[in-house]
Amino acid sequence: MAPPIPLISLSDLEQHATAVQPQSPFATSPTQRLRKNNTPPPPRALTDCPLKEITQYKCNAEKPKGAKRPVVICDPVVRLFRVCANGMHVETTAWEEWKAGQLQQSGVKEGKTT
Amino acid sequence: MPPPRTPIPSLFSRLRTATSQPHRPDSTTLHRSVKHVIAGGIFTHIFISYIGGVSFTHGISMVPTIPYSGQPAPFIIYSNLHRRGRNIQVGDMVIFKHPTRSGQTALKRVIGLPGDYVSVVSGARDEGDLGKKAEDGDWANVKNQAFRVPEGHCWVAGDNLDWSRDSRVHGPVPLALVQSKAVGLLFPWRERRWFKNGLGDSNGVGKEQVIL
Repeated sequence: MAPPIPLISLSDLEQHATAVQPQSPFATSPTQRLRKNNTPPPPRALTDCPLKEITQYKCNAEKPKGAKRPVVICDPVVRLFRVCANGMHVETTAWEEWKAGQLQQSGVKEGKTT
Repeated sequence: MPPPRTPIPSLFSRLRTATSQPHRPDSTTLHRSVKHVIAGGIFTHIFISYIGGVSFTHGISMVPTIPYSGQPAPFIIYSNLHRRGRNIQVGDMVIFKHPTRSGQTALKRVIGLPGDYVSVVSGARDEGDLGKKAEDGDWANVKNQAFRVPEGHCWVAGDNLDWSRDSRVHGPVPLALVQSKAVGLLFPWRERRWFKNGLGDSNGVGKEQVIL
């Protein structure tokens, strides 16, 4: 089994992702090897990395009014990713909104001070 | 009447002629067909273990990507060129040996590879949660925490987050357990297609409900 995994809060995510990534001496996976060979530096900010998405779903059977048979309705769950130059994918589904809020807040503060 | 007596030396010579006068055509065709069967077996074995094949799948965890309505089961094409996680990208669908259920394999989408950061997503529904409204519980919601996928592992999730037992249950999957990548859907015939990588550019357009 895999070792226990420490959790990272939203406010620490960018700091973790932009730090020099720990290199395991046991790094044998293809992506790790890739990262070793052409080592581009980690990104300076997550927002520098292009935004990508994977759409997943929550499917449940529902019986609409008037219908005889229940239908399966799949509600989309869009998961956002920042794909950085060093091949690292960072899921930012919750982070994007949080970051936008932070930027807005700091913008409001700056607007007040200037 | 007694059988005609044959002197022993001539019997030997008759035997000798019998062996030197064989049914050659018959034995060589047999020999050849056995050789072909063995060669065919070896070829099939190598093809199935290293190149790919087709297989039935079961379960609702990849709905709506792989539709499932009981019988007949969907039929998928897989490529074993990707075994042990070779050239697997985030967004691909992989078939792996189940880390906790021995002898079983599972098909899920890769969300993170070693060193990637993935969000915590709350667990799937249980049998008892059938028919409940989404507000009644905390199922498959993306949380405000993330983690780094450990070395040599991948993080997998079913496309039907509400009804999938994936890495949220059994943790990260060792890449060594990855057997193949799902490349296409063959049956149901109406929905046959090659699978695309699930990771696409984000255009900010809201995704629509899928009604099956």
